[in-house]
Amino acid sequence: MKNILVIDCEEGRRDFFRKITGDEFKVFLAKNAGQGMGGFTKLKPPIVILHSQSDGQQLAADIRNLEGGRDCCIVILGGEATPDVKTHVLPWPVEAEKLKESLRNICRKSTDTPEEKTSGKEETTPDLNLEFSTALALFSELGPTDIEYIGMERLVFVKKQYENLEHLDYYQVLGVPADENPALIKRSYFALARSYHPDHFASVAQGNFRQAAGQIFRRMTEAYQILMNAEKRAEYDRRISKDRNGETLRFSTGEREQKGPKVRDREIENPQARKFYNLAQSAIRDGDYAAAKMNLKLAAQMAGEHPLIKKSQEEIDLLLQK
Amino acid sequence: MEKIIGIDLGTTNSCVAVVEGENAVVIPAADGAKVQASIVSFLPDGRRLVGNEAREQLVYNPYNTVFSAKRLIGRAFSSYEVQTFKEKCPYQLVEGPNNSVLTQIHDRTYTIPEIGSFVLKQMKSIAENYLGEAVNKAVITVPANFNDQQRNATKQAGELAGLEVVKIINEPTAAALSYGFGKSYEQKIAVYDFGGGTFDISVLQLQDDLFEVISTAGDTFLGGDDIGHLIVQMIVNSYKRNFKVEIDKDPIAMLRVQYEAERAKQILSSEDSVNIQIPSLVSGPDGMIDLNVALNRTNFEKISTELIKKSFVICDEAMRLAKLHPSEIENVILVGGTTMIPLVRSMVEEYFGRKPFWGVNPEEVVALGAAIEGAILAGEHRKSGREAVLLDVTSLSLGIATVGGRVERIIERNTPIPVERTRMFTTSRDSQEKVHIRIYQGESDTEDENELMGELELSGLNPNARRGEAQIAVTFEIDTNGIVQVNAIDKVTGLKAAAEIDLAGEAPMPTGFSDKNLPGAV
Repeated sequence: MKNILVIDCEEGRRDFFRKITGDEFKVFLAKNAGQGMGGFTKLKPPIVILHSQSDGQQLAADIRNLEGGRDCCIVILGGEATPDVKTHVLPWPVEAEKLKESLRNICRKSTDTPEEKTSGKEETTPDLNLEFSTALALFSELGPTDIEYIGMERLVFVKKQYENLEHLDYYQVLGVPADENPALIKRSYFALARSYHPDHFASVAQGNFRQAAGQIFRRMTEAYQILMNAEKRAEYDRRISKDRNGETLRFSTGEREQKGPKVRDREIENPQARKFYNLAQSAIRDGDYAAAKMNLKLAAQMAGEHPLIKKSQEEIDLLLQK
Repeated sequence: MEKIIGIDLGTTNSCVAVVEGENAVVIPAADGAKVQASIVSFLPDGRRLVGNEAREQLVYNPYNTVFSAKRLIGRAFSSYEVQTFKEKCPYQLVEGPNNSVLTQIHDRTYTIPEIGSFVLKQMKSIAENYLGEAVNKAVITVPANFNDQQRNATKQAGELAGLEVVKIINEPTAAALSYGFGKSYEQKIAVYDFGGGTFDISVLQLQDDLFEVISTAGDTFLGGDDIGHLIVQMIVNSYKRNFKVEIDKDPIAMLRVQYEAERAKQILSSEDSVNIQIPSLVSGPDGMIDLNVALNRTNFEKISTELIKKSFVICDEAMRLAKLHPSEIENVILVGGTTMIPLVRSMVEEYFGRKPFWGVNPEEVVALGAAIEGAILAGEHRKSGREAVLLDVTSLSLGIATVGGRVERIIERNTPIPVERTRMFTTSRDSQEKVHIRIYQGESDTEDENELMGELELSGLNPNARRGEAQIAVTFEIDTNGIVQVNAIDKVTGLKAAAEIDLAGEAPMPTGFSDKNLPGAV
């Protein structure tokens, strides 16, 4: 028996896909792709069917969220091949029997060539290879053993999520539909934690990858915390239903802008020192770092240890090194 | 693959462990001891004794023997805790730069992280002797209730000992890891961690290889040492009553009593009664008076019940935060030397309505958990495939000062970590080039009742901006170590604003923007 997950299944088409269900195939119907495929992320489907209406980008991300995502086949009915996933394009509309026959062929192909599957790179599509190689370029600090350990799937996922992070709502961050129940949100977060918790990457070279993965996981944790709290989740839902720009997609950003705390300066008290400090600041703005450095040194002599001066000296040293 | 050891740096005792093959093992010292006293003694001849061999110096060399340094680490000199400790403490504490605590020994001072580093160096060398190779990396545990400064100071202690501190983890979480690693449990557990100087309770959900902390609460100034003090107090009072002598006026006598009281406390865990005897303790009206007190377990329990009860007030808090009833806890893990006291065990059993788990050594379990985490961080699971994921929470709320001495919370306690929150800040005057923010940790709404964590200064703002025009997004991040990082971006210019936190309560690390960065004169 093979599992089949149908994505973007409109109400009217449900009956058609139910015809496919039988001894050979078990069909799961998900309403749409954008919201984590109806909680079927735990399913290990060898075959995923989607309609041409599906958003390919979103789908690709969602497929990777599937636990068996790397090993599934994707069939697109009446559309074009989706970038960066291994796909088969079949005509639509189609008769149920014909579709079953095609699915049977696809299954046979994928089980006939198990060696190729495990050998990795050669077997993947050029699109995924492209994603992979851009990910490698972005995470250039990683050596071969790190890359082998992290794996293509996680590398590509981290790259894509990192690039899209500001456009994802909390549901997308966790790969769950907007009406998902808390138990499944938790499950999804746990599954992500098993792959993306920073501890997994502590033995990997420091650099862009760890930074990106760290940021993604912080966002996942944030999403988890808000969505698991009924009150906060309701407020979040209200907010994103009105407005979905980058700021509102995060719970904490921008909500109390006007109420900012009363802020105060900690001035350099010595007037001479302040003068030299200000001269240094304008010198920095003019790009005259040598003069800035001199003025800062004078300021430091007069004011003693002042954090502002120290800070500025540190900046100057960095600028001069460059 | 380079080993990462796990160190439990305790108030009273410390322990080091490492993963060998499949199992985490506690590393014994050359004499076989598996735990070492967290004591550093400076002898008159310049030698330094650390660990168990420094223990008796508490009596012979009291002014130059530092114990319980963990009670001071990362705290401000002016804090209530330090001032209270200072009153009872025979070694000298003085105020250092930035309101930090220094201890004055002979003619020099040591920072508290330095004292910690001596203990850690000993742990490091015990591990190196055992493994026969250099050890450069460690996971160090801290009480769950430690704040940012205490964590940073602990990390600094590790670095001073020549260890890269790969991660700081919470003691109860480490204990849970040691209990459940590789066992595929699915249960809710409580870790009741009563050490020498601190008490922590954590409630965790174990789900296979996943360890999720649901809530945590603690008191960094409630420990087994306090039970020892109760015995001391009892002795002092009874001698005042019966012999009209005031032992507490004689610091050396007090130290001897403390030493014996601590021993008596331990003996009462296995015996029904103990005789506390100290010959020629103090001088009375008719010459020297010996100390001779019989203490039985019933009396001991009578005097310590109230103190132990305090721990259950904190348990209530953790249960409330976890939205659980104690009866829903499926297993209770005991951690820390104080849980060896039979009364503590029976009170725990009564509270949770079940016998606590037997089968981990409460003095070793934290170090073992740290070692397991160390192995995971070292990447040993790449080969073994045995993994664990720790999902911990922050035990203290993080907030900033606003008008009128109020504190506004940015990150609530019990928030899963790692976490980040962004807040917008603006200027209150035209041409303001800097913004100053005070950051607090604690659960109160007012500044005075929370711990000042540090002051953040954002400088280099656009000097041509009018008041309120600047938009600085300040991101507060708590990483998986429970350590706070702050980043700031000027939204208008897109530039990274310079953000610097001055840590309160700890001498700044030497970071090198001193004169040596300015070669060549004016």
